[in-house]
Amino acid sequence: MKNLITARGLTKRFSVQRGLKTHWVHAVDDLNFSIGEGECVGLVGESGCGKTILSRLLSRMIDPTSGSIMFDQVDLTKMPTKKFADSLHRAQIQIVFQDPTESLNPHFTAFQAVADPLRRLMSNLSAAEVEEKVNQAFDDVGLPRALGSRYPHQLSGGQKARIGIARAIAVEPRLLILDEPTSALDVSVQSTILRLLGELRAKRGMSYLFVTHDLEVVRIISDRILVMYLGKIIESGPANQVFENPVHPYTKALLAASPDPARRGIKTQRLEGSASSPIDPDPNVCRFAGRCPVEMSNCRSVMPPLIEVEEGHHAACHRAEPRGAQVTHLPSRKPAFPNSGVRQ
Amino acid sequence: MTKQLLSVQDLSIDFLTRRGRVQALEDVSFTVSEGEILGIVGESGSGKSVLSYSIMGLSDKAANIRSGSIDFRGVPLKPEKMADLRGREISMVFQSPRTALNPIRKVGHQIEDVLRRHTPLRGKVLKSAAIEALARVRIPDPERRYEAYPFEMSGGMCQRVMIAMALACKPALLICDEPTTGLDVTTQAVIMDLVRDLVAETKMAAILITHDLALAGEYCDRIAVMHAGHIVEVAQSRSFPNELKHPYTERLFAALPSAAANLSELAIIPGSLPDLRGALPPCRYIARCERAKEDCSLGPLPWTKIDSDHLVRCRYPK
Ligand SMILES: Nc1ncnc2c1ncn2[C@@H]1O[C@H](COP(=O)(O)OP(=O)(O)OP(=O)(O)O)[C@@H](O)[C@H]1O
Ligand SMILES: Nc1ncnc2c1ncn2[C@@H]1O[C@H](COP(=O)(O)OP(=O)(O)O)[C@@H](O)[C@H]1O
Ligand code: SF4
Ligand code: SF4
Ligand SMILES: [Mg+2]
Ligand SMILES: [Mg+2]
Repeated sequence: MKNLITARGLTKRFSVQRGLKTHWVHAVDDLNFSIGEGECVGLVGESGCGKTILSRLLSRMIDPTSGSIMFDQVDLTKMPTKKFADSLHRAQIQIVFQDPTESLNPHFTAFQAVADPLRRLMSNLSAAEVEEKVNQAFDDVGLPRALGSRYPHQLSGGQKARIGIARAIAVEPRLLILDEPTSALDVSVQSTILRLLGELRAKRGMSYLFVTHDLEVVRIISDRILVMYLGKIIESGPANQVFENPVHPYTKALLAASPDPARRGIKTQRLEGSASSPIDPDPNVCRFAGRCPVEMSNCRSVMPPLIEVEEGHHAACHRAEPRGAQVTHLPSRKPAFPNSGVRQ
Repeated sequence: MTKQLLSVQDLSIDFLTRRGRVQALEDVSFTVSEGEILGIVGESGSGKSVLSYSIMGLSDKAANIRSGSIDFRGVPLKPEKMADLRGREISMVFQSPRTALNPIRKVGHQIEDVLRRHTPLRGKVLKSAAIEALARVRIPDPERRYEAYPFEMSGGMCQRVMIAMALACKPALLICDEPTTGLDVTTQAVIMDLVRDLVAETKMAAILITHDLALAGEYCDRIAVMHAGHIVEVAQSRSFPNELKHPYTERLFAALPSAAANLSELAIIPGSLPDLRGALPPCRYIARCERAKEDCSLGPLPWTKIDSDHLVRCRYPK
């Protein structure tokens, strides 16, 4: 599979002032990954771990602090936001936001909401062509064209979610980023949207970055999964491998927390507490330390690097072992690449 | 033997609005026993919140109870008695803890407010009861948290405080309306384990309202499925999803990502909830139902008893 987009060392920090000192929120920290043509990558992690910031970085809505984003042999980060907005790439990377109610302009009808990006990003289209593309997008997402004259407040949550998707796909993007598109929706609407995304992918060969905190949704829609924790990717790999063989203790905790009727009446080990502060985290301490049920002494002196545990499956934990060489009782050991996770 | 605590019989509630009469609930019946968690699941707008507010006696002014009864400990719940029962015998945990808590009042004092209203506790005893309430929901360092303001705490912590408030007077019935929606799954699991353990320890009864069927499946003893103001099926959790009889319930479960091996297996529920204003057919699922026959639109819809714990409201149960 050819890579469509590749992030290298992608980092975003926000400065916060406390008294006279400047501190830094490490929202997204040194991410390396790619998304292939026609591939669907699921991104999971708890609230505040950096999923939305990453989505905004990839769609060039915000500037990274450092790192590169290669898209079609072009480094998008070298392009100022303004120039990106006028470039051909602007239409090729589209994003669907978390809350359909907040992201739709209340003064635009459904038709106008979908026509607007077409007019802005494909300025050579005639009015008739815009109308045709809007109608096509309505058909693609299964919205009756008659709803085009309605305003957001006259539409249900599911209909608004579809309009959000329609306006993003109308400009025929090659990468569609969906930030928790179904988290506020009923199962009935969710299943329709998921099926729709599957069909669009088959029809158009679009790539997806699907952000969610629902692991079952990720399992069914993604080829590959990225798990984030406090700004870092802590596990990545083919969806079935991550589900069947989770390696990182946080991934295991996520799976153990996903509601499951088969566990009724059974006490399950849960992950207590919440993530530590994203402000100036110690670069030599595993981000999960303090909450990790299997923490060791070196977890607070060396940041665990991402290592390959089986083909295409990576995890950042001192306890991770390449498959085959697995031992059940783990002595503390030096990571394979002691410096790669440590940065200033 | 478990004792029946709450019994709702043939409850029908309308809302009189300018744009017509919204028939939000029709002939809703169910019971909850001590030490039991009953799940109420259904799509947005199916009537879950209207139902829970009516049990709490907190219905909107526009609400009109057309028929039916709500019995608590075998006695009808009277509107004029509700203010006294609420918070003491029957408590509720709402969806968004941040909006339900007063942002500028210490959480310890907010718990004391509840205790002061319903108990003779005052002074030092009151404070220690509030700290005990925080400890009961396993908040670490409850003495320090007593002094905290809601904005200083995470969403999960706020939700624990809400539960602590709801449980402060040791109610017999706890109603949780989407208690974990919007929280991380890791936090959700901790909160739900807590509710389950408290029910087991105190023998109180709980109603869990959620649109997450997997969550209801993990934590409830029985589940009632609502569709457009009707309860369409009630069964033991262990009957889900294999022994379900109503076509809607069947679809609802097949539409869960966990039920499907891949996308093409994921079921879709055609159509949407009917408009609850104006004339409605006896079976409100008929327009979406693949099993519908002509007589489904005739006469009142019967309840079919599959066994003592399993009821289905459909003419052609599977
Ligand atoms: N005050 C009111 N006036 C008019 N109609 C109302 C009122 N309150 C609720 N309804 C209607 O009653 C029906 C049931 O609403 P309810 O809030 O119980 O849904 P729900 O099942 O709790 O949904 P959700 O999952 O979105 O919380 C809906 O059609 C709703 O629009
Ligand atoms: N403008 C900002 N200024 C400072 N911190 C921010 C800003 N935007 C986001 N953050 C922080 O960055 C981190 C990642 O946020 P976000 O990507 O929104 O998380 P999520 O994974 O829930 O989408 C959080 O700690 C958040 O508080
Ligand atoms: S490196 Fe240590 S603290 Fe971090 S996840 Fe692994 S065992 Fe836990
Ligand atoms: S009563 Fe008829 S229309 Fe209604 S759910 Fe049953 S089979 Fe379908
Ligand atoms: Mg987000
Ligand atoms: Mg509700």
